[in-house]
Amino acid sequence: MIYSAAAVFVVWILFPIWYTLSSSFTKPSEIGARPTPFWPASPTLDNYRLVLGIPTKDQECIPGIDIVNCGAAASNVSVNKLVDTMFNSFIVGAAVVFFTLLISTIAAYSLSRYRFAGSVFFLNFTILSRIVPGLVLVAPIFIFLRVLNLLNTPWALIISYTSFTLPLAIIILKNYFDQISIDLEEAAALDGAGRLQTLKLVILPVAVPGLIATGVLVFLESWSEFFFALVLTDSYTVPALLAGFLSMQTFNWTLLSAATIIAIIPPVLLVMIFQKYIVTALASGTGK
Amino acid sequence: MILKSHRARREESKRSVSNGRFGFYLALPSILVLLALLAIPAVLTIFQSFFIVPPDGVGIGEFTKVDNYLFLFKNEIFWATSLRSIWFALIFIVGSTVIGMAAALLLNEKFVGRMVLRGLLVLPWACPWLIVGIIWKWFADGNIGLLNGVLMRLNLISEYKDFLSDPSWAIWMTAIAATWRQSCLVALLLLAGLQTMPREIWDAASVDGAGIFQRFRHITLPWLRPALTVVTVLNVIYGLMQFDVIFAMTQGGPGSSTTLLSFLIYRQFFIFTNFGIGSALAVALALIALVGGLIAVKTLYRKIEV
Amino acid sequence: MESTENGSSLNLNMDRRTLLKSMGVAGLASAPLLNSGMMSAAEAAGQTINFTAWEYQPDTIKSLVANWSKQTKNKVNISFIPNVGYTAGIQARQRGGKPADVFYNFAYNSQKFVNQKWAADLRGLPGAEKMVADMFPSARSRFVAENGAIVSAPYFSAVHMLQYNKKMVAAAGFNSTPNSLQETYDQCKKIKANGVESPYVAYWVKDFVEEYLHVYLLAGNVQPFDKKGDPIFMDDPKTLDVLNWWQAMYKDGMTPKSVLTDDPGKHTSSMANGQAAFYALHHYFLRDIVESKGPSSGDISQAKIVGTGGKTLQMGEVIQMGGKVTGAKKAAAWDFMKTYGYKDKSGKFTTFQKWAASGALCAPYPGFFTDPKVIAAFPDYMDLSLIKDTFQNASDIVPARTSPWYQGFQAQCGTIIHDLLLGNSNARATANALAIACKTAKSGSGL
Repeated sequence: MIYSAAAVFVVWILFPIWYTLSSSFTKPSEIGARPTPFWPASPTLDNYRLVLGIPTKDQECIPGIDIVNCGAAASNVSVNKLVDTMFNSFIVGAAVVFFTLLISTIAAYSLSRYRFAGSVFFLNFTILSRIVPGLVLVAPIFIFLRVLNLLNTPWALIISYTSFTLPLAIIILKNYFDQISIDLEEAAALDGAGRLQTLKLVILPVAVPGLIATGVLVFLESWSEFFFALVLTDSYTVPALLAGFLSMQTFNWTLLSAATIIAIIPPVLLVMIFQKYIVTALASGTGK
Repeated sequence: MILKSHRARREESKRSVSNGRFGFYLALPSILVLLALLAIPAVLTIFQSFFIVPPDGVGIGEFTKVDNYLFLFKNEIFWATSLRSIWFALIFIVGSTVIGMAAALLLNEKFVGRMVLRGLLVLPWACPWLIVGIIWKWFADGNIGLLNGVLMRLNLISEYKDFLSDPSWAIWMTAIAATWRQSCLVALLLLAGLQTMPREIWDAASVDGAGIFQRFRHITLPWLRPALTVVTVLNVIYGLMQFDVIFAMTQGGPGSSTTLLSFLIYRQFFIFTNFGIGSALAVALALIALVGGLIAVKTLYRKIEV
Repeated sequence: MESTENGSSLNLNMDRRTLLKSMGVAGLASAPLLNSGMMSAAEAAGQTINFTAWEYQPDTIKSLVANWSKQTKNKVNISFIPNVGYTAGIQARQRGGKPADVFYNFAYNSQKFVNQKWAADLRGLPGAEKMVADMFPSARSRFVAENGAIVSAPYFSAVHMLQYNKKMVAAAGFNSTPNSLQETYDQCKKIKANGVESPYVAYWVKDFVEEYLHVYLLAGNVQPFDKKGDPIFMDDPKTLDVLNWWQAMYKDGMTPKSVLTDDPGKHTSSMANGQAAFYALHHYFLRDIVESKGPSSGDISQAKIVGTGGKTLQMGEVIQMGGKVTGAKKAAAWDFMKTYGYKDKSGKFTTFQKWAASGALCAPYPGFFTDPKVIAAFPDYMDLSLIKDTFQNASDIVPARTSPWYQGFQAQCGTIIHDLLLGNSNARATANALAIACKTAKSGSGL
């Protein structure tokens, strides 16, 4: 019973990704076989070679893309930008995580421990802010960034992504801090530690799992975003680049699937590594 | 019970430690960032929804009172799209919650391979929404998709079915694709909740002879309600705001069968540069999300008291 | 436009029709006159031009730009926006106050840009009138607005053609490709009976179906809009025949059911693999089919959409100059545009020669088709004279398609036509709905 349920579940999760994976090893000419095979008859690495900008081995022309085998003059799309773009995505993601955690941690701690004029309003606003459709923020943020002369730089994305990662981080971390016993601080206060010192030396070490989990969530949000990247930069990050592939009238699925697989490797690895923290941290974040 | 005493003591010390100014300073950076990047643009949007904003963005334009809203309310496309957005969100919310709950319950059991399964859970969740759309566009494809291949092998269909060109299927397929990712997040959140549940309660109930479904209804569900509230609110928001998946899969088509409010907003803002109407649409969508979220909180929270 | 007024040309007060008519003579005559008022391009060096393009053959674009840069000692910064988000991207940049100096644009969006002063009126710039005069008369109105403003220069042009499988058509007993839409249906039916599951493919997705509306209306000898840009198709009984035909093609399974969402890449492989007999789309798609070297690639040839029976749509996208570009930068930007969308200084179609070689793209100039280098660059399997004849005699650009309001209509077309194809609507209702969509688009209030 459990195993059949587990099997259904595996199929539900895995089949779409499996198909992407198997397509990425399929030759373009074999893609129409019926019934659609689970694994290509003669797997090839050419799709990966093409999106990574490595010369291909199996002699098959992909029109508009593979200029060598087609004997064409130019490729319709710059396929080999994938690795660079992933690097960009990574930098942006890391910076967003850093800045978001930096300012959200102290804000969340404050909301958990202190009351000040408007603190309740601030918390409610933070929660409510999730109902603002992200699309409407693009135009004002564009002008904001132009004034700062940051358009088409990684900062454009780092700053704008913070607008939607910050509320998320504050909510999760606030709930996490709520679970941490106040005794610790009282003990530290008795020892004569200052408030900032207490936060740094006593609270933060205890909060590490929560910080990691929040960081991963923030990184995922940042890695996922595509519309801001499309408008505020020249396709600086991975989703925007893939959107570009999507619109290439001659770009085909086997290449797109290879690019897709490569693009999800970093977030998948990251989440797998930190999975344990995420579940515990979310448990305290939502268990209240 | 332990938790409660913590909370009580925290309330107490909040008052004693209370130093508003220090707390305010800690929150200040966040307040400033959210003010600049969220509050001001949001207020601007509400403001613009009462104006005809010139496309070049110079000047605030002409005040039209509530004309933009009247235009929407008189437009049947607006109503049809709003209903479609809500319908899409409902499929998404129910699907994600049910599948996520089932997955969480399954993963809370002990069986060989549990950890592998839990590892798989993060796969869809780690995929950006746009990539979810890309993956499903091709998975559900009417000529080469594996979904058709599988259905055919199971003799559920006799010939390949094109889900995305069939208007009655397209909305389902896009909602299912979005559910595919969201159900995994839901499963993670609910699983986290389940794992904090003391085993003794459950065991005690089974000694009392309660069946598995009764135990689920009377023990598991109440325990999970706080988590379920959070999950549902998240689902409401992600469901109503969905854009990327549809952008990748159908671009709102075929016909208008997958055109959601988020798509109309995109079109008004970025294609027609009609900011007044676009802002009014955004306000309408935010209100729908607000109402949806409130309904979720109200129904789920009230049940806790019972 | 402030800076064009110094070229106080006699053309300024003419409307489009007069201008187009007199273009051949006036263009030649006024060009040297205008030159004197402007800074000549040779003096404009050391400028930096921001150029925005969508990402089709980025390497070709870069090399074209680099060539021009080297020759004129001006710098060009290129930025690429994906095609799918191009309108959103470029309009957000305009409105946010960071516009490009020279940029690609969709023809249907070009007049709107000039009206918003986001793009410059090119009248009076040295050689602009000559550029228009050198075009096929049928192509000129894409670049010249109703009030006579020159809104853009060509980026590329194409005509909708019918890619077809010679063997399949012959095997079904036909000695020519269809000469009418009805014959298209009949041939498809026969070929389908011969075992080709879905003989006809086309790029009928929501955002693109508007082009096909004109392709098929023109093929059915319907004039979609009158000279003033007002819709007249709904009053023509032949429109109903076209729409009925279109619906039947889909409903009777001449196309795959998925044709409403399929990408051209998929159709290309259907043709190359012998799964389809006809593929209606821009002429240059023949190149992809042949070069993908599928089992049937060698059997594919090109014909007019309905042979001798009607016209087809001539389409093309454009390049525009930012509305705020002035002075020496304007002279440099215009020189760049001329090289990119017309001829280089030595009077050769260098840019278009390159596009012909790398993408089989065309330019809307008769001179392009007789240029020996272009002829040499065009792939052998493409019949350049057929394409030229289509440009010259058998195609229409439908001038209304560049009107400022047109985008609003374009956005509604997809829904309306898909409803027809899916059987939710009939020909009469569809024609009416399209007419209403024109009206709402013109009043600027579509959703």
